[in-house]
Amino acid sequence: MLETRNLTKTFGALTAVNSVDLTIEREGIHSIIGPNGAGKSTLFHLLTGYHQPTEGTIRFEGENIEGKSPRTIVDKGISRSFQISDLFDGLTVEENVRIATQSLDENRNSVWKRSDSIDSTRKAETLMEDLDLTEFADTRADALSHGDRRKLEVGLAIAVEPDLMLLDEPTAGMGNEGSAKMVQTIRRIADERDIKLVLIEHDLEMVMEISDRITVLNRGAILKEGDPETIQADEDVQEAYIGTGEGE
Amino acid sequence: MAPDSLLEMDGVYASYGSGHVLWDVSLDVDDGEVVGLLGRNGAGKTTTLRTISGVIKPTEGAVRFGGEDITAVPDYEISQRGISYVPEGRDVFPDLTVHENLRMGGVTGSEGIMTIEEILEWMPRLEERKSLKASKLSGGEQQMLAIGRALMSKTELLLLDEPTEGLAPQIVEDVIETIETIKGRDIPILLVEQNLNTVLEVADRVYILDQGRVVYDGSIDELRADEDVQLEYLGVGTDRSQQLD
Amino acid sequence: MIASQSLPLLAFISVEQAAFLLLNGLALGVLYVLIAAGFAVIFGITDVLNFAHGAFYMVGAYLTLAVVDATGSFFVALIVGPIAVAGIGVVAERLTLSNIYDRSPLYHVLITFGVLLIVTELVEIVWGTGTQFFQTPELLAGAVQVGPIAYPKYRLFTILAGAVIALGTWLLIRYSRFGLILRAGAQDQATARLMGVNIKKYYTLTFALGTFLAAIAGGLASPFLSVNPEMGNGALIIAFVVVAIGGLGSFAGAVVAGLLVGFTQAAVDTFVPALSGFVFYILLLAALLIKPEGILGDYEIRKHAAKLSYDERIPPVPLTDRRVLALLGALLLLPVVGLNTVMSSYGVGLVALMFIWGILALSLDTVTGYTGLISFGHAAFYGVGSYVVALTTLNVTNSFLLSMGAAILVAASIAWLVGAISARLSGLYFAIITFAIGQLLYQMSVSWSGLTGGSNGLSIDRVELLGFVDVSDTVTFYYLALAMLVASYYVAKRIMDSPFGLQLQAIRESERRTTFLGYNTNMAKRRIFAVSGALGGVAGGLFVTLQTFTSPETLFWVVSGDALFAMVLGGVGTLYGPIIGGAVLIGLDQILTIYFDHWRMLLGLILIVIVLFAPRGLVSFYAIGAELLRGERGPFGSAEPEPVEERGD
Repeated sequence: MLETRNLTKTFGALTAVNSVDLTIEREGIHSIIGPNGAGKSTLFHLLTGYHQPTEGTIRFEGENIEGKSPRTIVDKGISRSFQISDLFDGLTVEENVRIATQSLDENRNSVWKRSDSIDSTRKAETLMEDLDLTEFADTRADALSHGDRRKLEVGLAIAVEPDLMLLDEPTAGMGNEGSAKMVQTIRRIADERDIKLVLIEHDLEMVMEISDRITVLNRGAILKEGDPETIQADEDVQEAYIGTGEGE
Repeated sequence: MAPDSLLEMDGVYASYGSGHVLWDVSLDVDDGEVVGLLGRNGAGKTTTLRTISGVIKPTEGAVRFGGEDITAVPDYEISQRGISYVPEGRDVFPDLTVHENLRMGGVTGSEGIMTIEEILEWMPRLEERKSLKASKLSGGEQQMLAIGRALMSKTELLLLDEPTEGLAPQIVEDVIETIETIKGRDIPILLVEQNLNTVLEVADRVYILDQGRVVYDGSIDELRADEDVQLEYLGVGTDRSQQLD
Repeated sequence: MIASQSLPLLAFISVEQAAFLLLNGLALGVLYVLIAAGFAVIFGITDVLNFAHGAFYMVGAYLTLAVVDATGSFFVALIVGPIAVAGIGVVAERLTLSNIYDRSPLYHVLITFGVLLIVTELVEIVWGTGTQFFQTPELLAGAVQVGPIAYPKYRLFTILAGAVIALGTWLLIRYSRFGLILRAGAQDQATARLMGVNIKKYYTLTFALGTFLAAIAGGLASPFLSVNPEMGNGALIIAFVVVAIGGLGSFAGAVVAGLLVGFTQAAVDTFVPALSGFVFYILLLAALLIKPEGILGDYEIRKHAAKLSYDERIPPVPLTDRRVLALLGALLLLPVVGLNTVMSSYGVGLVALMFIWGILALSLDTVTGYTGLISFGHAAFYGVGSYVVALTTLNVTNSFLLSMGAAILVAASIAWLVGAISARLSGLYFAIITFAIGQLLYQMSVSWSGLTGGSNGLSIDRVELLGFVDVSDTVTFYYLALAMLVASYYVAKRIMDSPFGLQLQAIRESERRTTFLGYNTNMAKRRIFAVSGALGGVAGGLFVTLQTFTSPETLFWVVSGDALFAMVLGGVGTLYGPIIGGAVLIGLDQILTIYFDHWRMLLGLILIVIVLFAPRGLVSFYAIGAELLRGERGPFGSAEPEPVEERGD
């Protein structure tokens, strides 16, 4: 579905992403893990056109998308969420979702129709129900609890009806219970809407549980790739994560 | 808790943005000890340090330092009183040189515990790079610089937020050695870590935070022996395969 | 302003001329560097565009002059005067900026604009509006032989003094403890505080340094320029242009750019005097288009400037709201009942002018209040509208519909172009480029006198609607202006309620996220700019029809500043608030000016108070009042029904 070859991004002297060959299959949930500073978020920035790669190619559904603008890439069917919620803080939850669903509406640029009367408004309502955010429809996004903000953050990515959705630590800063529920919700919606999920996650326990395939990044490069069992048993991965072993 | 502790947090509630919240957190640090503060991502460890250093003001409860209430004292004044804070992600001034960053540490003129020359002698890697902009340093070098910079100012208590985060194993060793050197000079440290091993290596005592509450406190040996606690709050089994980063 | 007072040059081409050109370029360049230095320092450290910079420069000239009169020593005055100005700067900063550094640059711009108004009026109260002449100190009078030519001593002194001051400032910032703290604070305030630095104190000191430098530039410049309250305008523009070309936040960049502009100006003055007034703007536009971050700039626009955000949404009132209908009814009856009883025809005209300013402030609100783009150049559309109506009436037809149609078309096209040029810039660059484009048009209206009548402007007589109704009749015009105001409001509200309007607000809240939802945000910005420009053009076209006269004043940046003021005074981001603000501002203008010569000082005060204490303007008073009223009236159940179905924007 998505394939990168020799994908590299340097910022001055720093190589944030180093010659990454990543293949994302259509089936299953794919997670990208790695210690802080491993280049996970930068990788997402490259895949979604936020940063332009220094080198390498990105193919999505057989088409080269490196160097394309974020807008074009969304149109091609890749959406994303951000590690730090980037919401329309001064607007209500309903408006946040509506601006996202509206992006696919034929009337998206109309200056005369009422924005709450066009077809995509119904989609916004459905999505709010799916996310269990309906009761906050008229609440400003910046007045939501952290957990609900994270939900809305993912909701905006879902609303543009992608084929592939890149979620950057969707449960960041949420408690165990909240995280588990959130992941459940995301999986259910992704299944229903036939969206392929790629996650960056911190919580290894959860990653091991839900992923079908895991890529481990370390210092900008792919350290290991495989199914959860393989990754869990791998000594290099443990080393990268835990740092120094006991008594060494 | 002893009334004459160097630092006391007493029933502190705090909120920062949304999601990072402290609930009734009480802890103390005594002279000369290294105290570890452990917990998962989002447990409130950084918020605790930010509250002590005055960046965030508690909504309830009190912070006392050297017997004085510093709850309402502005952050820059808390720094002048001797709490040096090395934030997560180092936060060196990227466009200042290494030397200028160190000068900034001692800029308020209060007695630091080391001079620039001593720090550069102690950290030869920085000496070689002292005229370079801090943004050109590696992560480990930036961490050393941030610690050195903190020691340039009056330091009666050092707050370290995840000093080994994202560093290569060899560099982690260097940082731990640095922390031990500081400990050897009898400077009390409150050390936030996700990496259990670092804490086991250098700390005397430990608090564990979970969802903004103190859920455990005890000595290092007690924690080492208590695998249930390790597993429950830190997600660490003895085989460590389940460790949360 | 300084640029138009080009230095005299020999009229022959020779080695001598080359020498003059070089020295003149250097003298101008150094002067520009000096003028820009304080502005650059304040911006580089605190991210504030100090619109009062020119005012402090002017006060510097006056106080230096005063000290010369008192002590007889120019050199003493050159130190004492600027120190006094720095003291004024400290007071001004503590009372205004120091409380709002964390707010949107919109408020920084406005509050320093308020300081500018107050300082300018104070100078006029103390020294009058006339021009004062500054004797060149005897020691520096006359000329001295420099190689093949005799060159005025004082200019050589300026070059030297300017170089010393610029170098001194650079050394201070680069090597002193003070400079270290400033640079560290500019990079990361929070971390600087963790080092024990009270950063607010240093911001105040930065402002003191900036105003000191402005004042010393004023003192140095005054012997070869006349000293008057207007002199600050030119200096402000120079500072803007030099700092933007050099790179926001880069002191060294300002030095390079100042010299570059100086030499270019000297050369253009010699070889193409017709373009003399355009040098700044052409260089600035070229710089922003080719290298928007400036020659030496590495300023990260998006990192620093806080976005415009509101604690509370105040939705536009629907036209069908009972209070609005009542107000409209009253306004419809006003000329019928009021003319010759409570008001003269002048009064009716005044109310019509209030409508015009309502439209102008409304037009600004669509781009600034709703889309979050701070336009400091809306005078461009107002002025262009007025000139197009005037020119069409004079040269083509006196049909109001046709001339207004032309005005809307031209203003919208220019605005679309401005939007296209500026779309990739954000935050403060946006304010600067719109400012520059506005001033470029102003300069054209002054210079192209064949077309525009130069600074005399253009007069028109009879304008007709549909060939028979005389729109020049005040009462007829009143109804026309009211109709256009209502129509403008309806259109603007309709747009803000539309999917496109929601998109605009999304851009204000987070442009990045809007892009990641698949929207073409640059296209949206161009479009709303065109709409806004069209509305601005309507206001300008109405203005010239009412006054039967237009002049470059309509294009001057102060009009842009007043429009921003009106918008915030009434209530930014509410559509109806700016209309109220425009009406109140113009009403105050016309009424206070009768009783009080220095009423603009009062305006400055109001502006500062509004920014500090009521950033959502007059409508927030109304909202608070209405709540109180509803609370009191609650038990009787007679509160206004909320227009629920019309809400939502």
